[in-house]
Amino acid sequence: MSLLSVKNLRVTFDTEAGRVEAVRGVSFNLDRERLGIVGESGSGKTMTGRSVLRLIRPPGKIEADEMTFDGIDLMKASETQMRALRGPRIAMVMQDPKYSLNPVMKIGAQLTEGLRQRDKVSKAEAYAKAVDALNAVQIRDPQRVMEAYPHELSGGMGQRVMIAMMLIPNPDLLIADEPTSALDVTVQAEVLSILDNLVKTRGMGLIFISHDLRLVARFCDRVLVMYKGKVVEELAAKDLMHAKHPYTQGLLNCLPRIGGSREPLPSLDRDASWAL
Amino acid sequence: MLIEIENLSVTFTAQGRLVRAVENVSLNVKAQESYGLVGESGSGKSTILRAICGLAPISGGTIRINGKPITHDRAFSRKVQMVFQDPYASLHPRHTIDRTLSEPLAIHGLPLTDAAITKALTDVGLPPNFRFRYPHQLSGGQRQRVAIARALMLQPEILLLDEPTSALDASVQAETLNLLSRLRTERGLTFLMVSHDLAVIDHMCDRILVMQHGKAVEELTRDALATAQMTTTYARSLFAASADRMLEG
Repeated sequence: MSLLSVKNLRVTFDTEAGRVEAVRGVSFNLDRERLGIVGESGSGKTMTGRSVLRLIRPPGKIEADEMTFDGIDLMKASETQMRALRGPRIAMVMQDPKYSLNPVMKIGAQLTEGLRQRDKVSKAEAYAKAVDALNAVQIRDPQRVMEAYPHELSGGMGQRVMIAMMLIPNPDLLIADEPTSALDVTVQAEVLSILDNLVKTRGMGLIFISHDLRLVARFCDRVLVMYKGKVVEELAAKDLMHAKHPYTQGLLNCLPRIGGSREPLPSLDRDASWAL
Repeated sequence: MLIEIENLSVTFTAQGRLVRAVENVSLNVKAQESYGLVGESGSGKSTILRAICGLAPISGGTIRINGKPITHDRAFSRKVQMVFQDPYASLHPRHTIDRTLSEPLAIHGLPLTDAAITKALTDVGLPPNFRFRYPHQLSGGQRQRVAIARALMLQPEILLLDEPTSALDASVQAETLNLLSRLRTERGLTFLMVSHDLAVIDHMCDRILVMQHGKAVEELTRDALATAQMTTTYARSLFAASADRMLEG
């Protein structure tokens, strides 16, 4: 049995301007592996990730034929059960450290809050665990970072803090929403190797949401390509460069390449039939 | 040389600690050239652009444009304009596009006409009826087009581009880069561009300066980059980390 199984997931928003379908019938299975979800902004990849944790606010509605995590029916679970899952079993790294960290709380307080509140760990032990987590994401000066406020950290540091925070409870499934898009290539490589290590050593499942096709191709095992709320193509990451769907091919072609020509980059001609 | 930067240093004090953001960096940009700055975050590449605009304190060295040391007056803003990384943060959320684009003209006492605004919008590929929209009614790519249009309102010679496409999707990035290249040819602009993406820099720039920890590491021509003729280990490691952005692979 797979760790997470999703069948025909739909996320809809009833707005004044009408019904918006953000996710339209997405199905996938996940074992203890790295699954990439790629697509442009507005393709529904973030909504897919958030649905797994049922983190979609009204007027948004989640419907699915099946959504089970480790034998637990996520569609039927009570809010209390969900709360017990979020964090210790399924964790999510949000996109932007600028908006996802509490701006008026020191990093140390944010990292230890869960341990202190949920696990009733002593102050000293919580501090030690938080420092370990910061070390695990290769932050050089963890004591200083513990005392810092989010605005005192660079984007890359903030992102690593968020990853550290999610790793403290040792989850079975990590949903990482654009965890490296705020980082530059060298730091990106570091953060990815940290995540990779965690998948291997802890046997964690990972859903890696990104708009960067090349990154996903290099880092994940399997890839779902989403367009306008639907999965248009599912393929092994190593085959991504030989994708069949014109949307995936178009996305790859419009990227500049080192040593490429100076001609205008090909633009993506969208076909109305892709969204059907 | 249009832009000459000599031994530029920028130093901040943060919490009583001295931060050397830029240390003794020199570079020259010819008129109508496109020059790129690459490096990881914190390498000081954006700080150089900010120092040129007067947004960062210069603690040493000189910046000259057309041989004259820069002064941050109105004449300067008519010559040099900047486009920022995040189009969600760089446009005033409560000003219409019309007001955003009119402001430079108003400040400089230039004639404010409907035609000027309409032309500015069509030049960056936006329909004229976007004039009375607010930034939140536009997508990220459309906002960045507005930011580019605003920078061009005063017909500058030099555009400072701080990661202009890193907040955009791949297809929108391609459209924005094409727009910038087109404007550069049409108007004979000089670009000083910052990016962490070597492929973007390679596509847009003739010469490149690799930076690390506030220092210049190595200057490369586009050909040297494409054929991997870098001499320093850091430039090489940056190149290696971008291996998936090569022409084939």
